[in-house]
Amino acid sequence: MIDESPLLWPQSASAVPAWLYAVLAVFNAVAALRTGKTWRQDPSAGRFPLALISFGLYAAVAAAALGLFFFTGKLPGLPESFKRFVDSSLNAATVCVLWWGFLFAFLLLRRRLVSPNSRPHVLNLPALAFLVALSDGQFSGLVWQPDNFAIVLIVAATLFHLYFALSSAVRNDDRIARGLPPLEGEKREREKVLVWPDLVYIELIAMIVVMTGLLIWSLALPAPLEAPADPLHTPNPAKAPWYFVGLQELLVYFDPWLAGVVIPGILALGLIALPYLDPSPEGSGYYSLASRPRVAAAFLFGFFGLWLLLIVIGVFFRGPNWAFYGPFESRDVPKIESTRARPLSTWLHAPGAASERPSEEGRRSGTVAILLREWPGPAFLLAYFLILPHALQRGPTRAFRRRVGAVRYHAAMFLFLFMLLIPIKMLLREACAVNYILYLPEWGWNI
Amino acid sequence: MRLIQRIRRSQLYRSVIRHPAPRDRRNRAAVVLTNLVLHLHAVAISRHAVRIGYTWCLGGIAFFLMLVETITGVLLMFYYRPTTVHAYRDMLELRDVVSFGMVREIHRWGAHAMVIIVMLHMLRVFLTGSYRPPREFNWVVGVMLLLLTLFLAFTGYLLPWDQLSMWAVTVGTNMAGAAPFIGHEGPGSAWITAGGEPLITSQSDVRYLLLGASSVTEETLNRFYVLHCIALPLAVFALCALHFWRVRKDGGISGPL
Repeated sequence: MIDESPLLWPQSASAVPAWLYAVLAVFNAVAALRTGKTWRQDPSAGRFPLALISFGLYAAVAAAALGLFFFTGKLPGLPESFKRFVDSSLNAATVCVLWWGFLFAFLLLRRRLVSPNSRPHVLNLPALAFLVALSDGQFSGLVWQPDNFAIVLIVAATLFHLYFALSSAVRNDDRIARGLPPLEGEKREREKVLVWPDLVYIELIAMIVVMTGLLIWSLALPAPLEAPADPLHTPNPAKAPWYFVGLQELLVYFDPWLAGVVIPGILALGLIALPYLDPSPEGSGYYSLASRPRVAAAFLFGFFGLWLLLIVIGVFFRGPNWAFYGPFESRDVPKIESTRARPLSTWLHAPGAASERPSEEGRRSGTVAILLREWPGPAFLLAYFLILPHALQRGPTRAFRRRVGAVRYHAAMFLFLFMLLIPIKMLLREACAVNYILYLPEWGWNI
Repeated sequence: MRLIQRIRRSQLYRSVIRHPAPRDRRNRAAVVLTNLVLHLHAVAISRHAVRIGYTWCLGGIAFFLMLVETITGVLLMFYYRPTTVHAYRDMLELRDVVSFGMVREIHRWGAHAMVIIVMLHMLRVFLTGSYRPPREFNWVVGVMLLLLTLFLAFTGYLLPWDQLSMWAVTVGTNMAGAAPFIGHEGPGSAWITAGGEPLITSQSDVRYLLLGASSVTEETLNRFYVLHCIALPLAVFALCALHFWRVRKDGGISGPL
């Protein structure tokens, strides 16, 4: 039975964005009130805080959207032409480049982004963009697919966490630059407090909040259950669980022995090795970027720019036949993507020729012939993994090399360059039409 | 009030809780020292460590979700039989027949939440530099816990035995078949022979070890069920104990030197 009130939920899926607008309005109103209160209580504060006006405006915008829904049953949406423009201009490469650009802009402009005046915009604009996009049926169907909601949650939670972590890091870096200890190291902060009640009550509240959220999530979204397992009918696409979809997406760029085994293996190894490769106890125990700018950039790129990005592409942008679909594009229309990409060696030997596999003749002619054909691959890999670290230690990585010694330096550089091989191969395929750096179909060790 | 005081003075109450109410400093220390759960904590910690903006409670929430998963998992085990005949029907009954038919939802979304929170916990520990000495070994234990969490979620994914779960696990485990040397589709496996016969086939490779068969079948269901309900949770709780112990032994929640 469908209830007639549009605001009742979960009977009416279109009411969900309306509820989210309500949450946004309340959040902004509270933030505006808190900003005003701090300003009034602090006699040293100067001009009237701009953030208060911004929070108030966002609260009004969200309330207006809610009012529109209440009286007309419609929510603000996007023009069809804009949706078509987005769908047609996005592909795997543009999504990657946009995402990486966004990440590095976020890190470079962090001082500006965490300032009190920009905080309302940083917190509200992504939320508003998401809510406006939700008015599209295709997009909201994708987001509310029960298993997909977890990815919306992890992206939102990571962004939110990263933003506040960067605020703390900027604050601490400024304090250290002025010769002060980081905030966590202030005398008052180093004083001891009793765990009962100061910590156990926080824990109790955290448990209640988490359990409440989990119950709401469970009430709203039923656990998916499809048709009974049938080994004779393969769904298209067959997707791995979302936390492994990133590795499945890597299959576009790498053979399975790399994407499914070697890359995750080296990823785990690199995470384990991290504290042994960067062993200085300096700068631990407080949020900071200035005390570890390079390792932080590398880690955040791996976490955000690769692991999370590949999950997002695999879950939201891949449809039947693992073809790329825009966020507003219907998955019912099957696509088959063709690629011009071929191995590096064939480009070099016969530019423009469309030889896909080496001929039978070439296969029989032995190891030497294969190595002669494939010389660019080993040459590239040798230069990349052996010569590059040696060349770099005379310049940009000199201080790091001196500090940690030869073994640690080369282990760290290998892991870092191995991680960079992933975006390099992605761009090689999308921009240069090269699918293999080293192509050995005779033995299967394609890279 | 008098009744409460009588209860507090009774032999029964004092046999369980051995100290007066935690209203003064001495008894607030005593409650943490004498309580099995609370003694995971030190009696007193520095003020910055209880700030929400420092830890975001992420480690604690991850462990809390593990407890939620354990409890709801036991409830689900009452109704679930890991055979191809029963597994899917038991799912339907859990949804349609069993009272409070929301346990499976809590278990599934709790699992997703746990994966998310454990990843965020790692991010937090990284951004505060807490992986650095003297806590480097505890970071290693944490990475192991992250991998175990992923593997727990993955083994649980198969149990509903519907199209979604069976094919997701097929896709996931096919990767193991491509492992170099030890997977039958992996490079180098053809080089490993015994008397001219290939040693690594779809009947003997690492994927077979994982699945208990050469494709996802009832043997796989049973294997994943045992891993999901017994082996992996035991490993997680053992490593959690080590993780919490090392937090204390390495100097408590990290702070500036």
